[in-house]
Amino acid sequence: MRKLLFLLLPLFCLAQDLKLDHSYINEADFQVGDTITIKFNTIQITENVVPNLYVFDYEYNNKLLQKITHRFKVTDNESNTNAQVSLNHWDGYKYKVLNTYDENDLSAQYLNGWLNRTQVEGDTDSYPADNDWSVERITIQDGVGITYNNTLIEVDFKIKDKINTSYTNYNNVTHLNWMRAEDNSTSTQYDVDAMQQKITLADVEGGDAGSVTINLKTPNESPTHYKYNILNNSSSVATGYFDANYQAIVTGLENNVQYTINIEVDNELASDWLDDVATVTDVFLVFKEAIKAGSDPSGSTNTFTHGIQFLLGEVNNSGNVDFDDSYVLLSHIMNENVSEWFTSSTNGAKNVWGEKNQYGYSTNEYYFGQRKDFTPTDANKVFDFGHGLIGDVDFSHSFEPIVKENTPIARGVVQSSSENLNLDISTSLVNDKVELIVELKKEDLAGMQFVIQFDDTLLEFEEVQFNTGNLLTNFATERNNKLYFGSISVENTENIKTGKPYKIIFNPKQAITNTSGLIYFQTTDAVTDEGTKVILKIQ
Amino acid sequence: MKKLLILLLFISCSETIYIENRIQEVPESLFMPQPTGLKLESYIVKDKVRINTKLPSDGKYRIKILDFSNKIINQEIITGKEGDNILNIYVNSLPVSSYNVELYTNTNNFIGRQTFSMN
Repeated sequence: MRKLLFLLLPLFCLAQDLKLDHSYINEADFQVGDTITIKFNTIQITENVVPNLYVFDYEYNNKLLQKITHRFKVTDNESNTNAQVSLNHWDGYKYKVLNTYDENDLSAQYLNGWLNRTQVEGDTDSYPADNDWSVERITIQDGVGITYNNTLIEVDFKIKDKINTSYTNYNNVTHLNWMRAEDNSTSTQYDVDAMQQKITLADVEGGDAGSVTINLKTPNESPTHYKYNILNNSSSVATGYFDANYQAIVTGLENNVQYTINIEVDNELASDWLDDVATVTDVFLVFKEAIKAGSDPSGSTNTFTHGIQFLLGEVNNSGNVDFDDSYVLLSHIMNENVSEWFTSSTNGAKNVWGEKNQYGYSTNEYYFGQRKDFTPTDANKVFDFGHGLIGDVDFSHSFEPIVKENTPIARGVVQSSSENLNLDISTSLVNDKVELIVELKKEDLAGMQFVIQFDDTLLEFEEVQFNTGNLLTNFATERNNKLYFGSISVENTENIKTGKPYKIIFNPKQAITNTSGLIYFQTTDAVTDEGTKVILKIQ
Repeated sequence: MKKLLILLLFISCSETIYIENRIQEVPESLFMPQPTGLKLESYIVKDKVRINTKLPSDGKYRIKILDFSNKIINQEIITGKEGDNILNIYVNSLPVSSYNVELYTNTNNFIGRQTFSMN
């Protein structure tokens, strides 16, 4: 019976007497790099329990927290000014909870999980190695009872970036392992439970965002000619070019920081195609919009189907789309540059861009939907940006806005995206002259445009013979070794005649055997009388 | 010995007959054993390159030059004759790149293809 009482005595004594708590004292709005302070204190549960010795272990994740310093606070309270304190530190270990006891039963974990762990069969190692964790042991002893509710110690940590770790969040970055609470004078040990055993830092923002992907949305076939510049508070933090997959993989950005991105065409790289952006289709569409001609004979019908076309078609900086804009574009395809406000090899690229889902849709914040900011987070590191070019109302080189649900489409002519047309263009040596002939079978073309480049060391341009119809505006301009020619039905009352509407004649400067390679078919474009872009495929 | 004398006598008395066939002189570099096809004199080209278009019959044919995306950037209609036709491809107006040259009948039946690169 006596033995039984001795056996039960520790159990009675180990009823819960106090709690050990630890918590951060900062506002819970953490950023990577912030310093947080964790305080430790005890809370009395049972009256007349006055331990004067505390020994406890806690551990912290050293991949997520970097210890800065610690301050014992127990001596700040009037009762324990003479307390002796000690802190020991080990890196590379983590406490292995003895599962036969509750994890939060700190005194049981002390007694069985640590002190007598070697007696646990098959589970003798209380502190196996673990490079992610560091252990600290705090010892406080005093001649009098250590007061409750007062802070025993504060430990400062810096929040580390988790980017190069195996951790995806800041859950359970600390852990109370065990505690010995004792009245030294009587060797009475008290039962200690954990109040908050683990600390989780929720919603830690900032930090290296890792690889952030910017997707360039454009139908252009030269994505590598597009460059980006990412800014933070007007300072550039990352620059580069998009790759052949229309992507930029950007590093060095931080999570939860808002960045601005500029996307521009490199004018030097793109010099070969900038003149192809605004073509006869654009001229035709702008002209139709200017006269408000559509399917409705009563007039005042929009041709444009997206609001952003009013931005792309405003090429003379007048503030609206009118006849002058169509004149500017018509001049351009005739190789006359009369405005600096649209995309061409002379003017350079005039860039428009915005986040894909906003691009094209004006709000009070975003002019024509040009939302240029993005914020990487743990959950989102991929951003899509649409890009357009002023002068390109047919979206041949520009991202066409996504039609939002419930977004009204302008009434009138709704352009289908495009259609294909096989076209026969060939050169021949005829009576010692080089002839280029365009053969056309399609009847509803309201505009055609060609840019050809010829070998001016061997050829001299003589003339263009038009057989397009009586009411069409024809044009042909030679500049350097290029010839710009075509037609447009500005009145939209007559289409280009079928047959052989264009014959170009060159005089050889020296004897030639044939004509292969002498003329390079650089640009071709056409538009129907309904405003549909026609992609010409030479057969 | 008698037989040999008779043979020599026959040879010395026979009339020599020359049959003249007009053929276009084809450089060895452009010679094609096939009955039809296309051959380039060089696959690295500067200024121009000679080609042999070996045609099945007299008539019109198409020589097409295609860029890397198979877009036709030049097309010539030639009037050729059966057999070898030595022509040129002039490349000064073309952007420096690699191109395919293709030979077709006038009705776009394929005959041959070659590739050249500019430097």
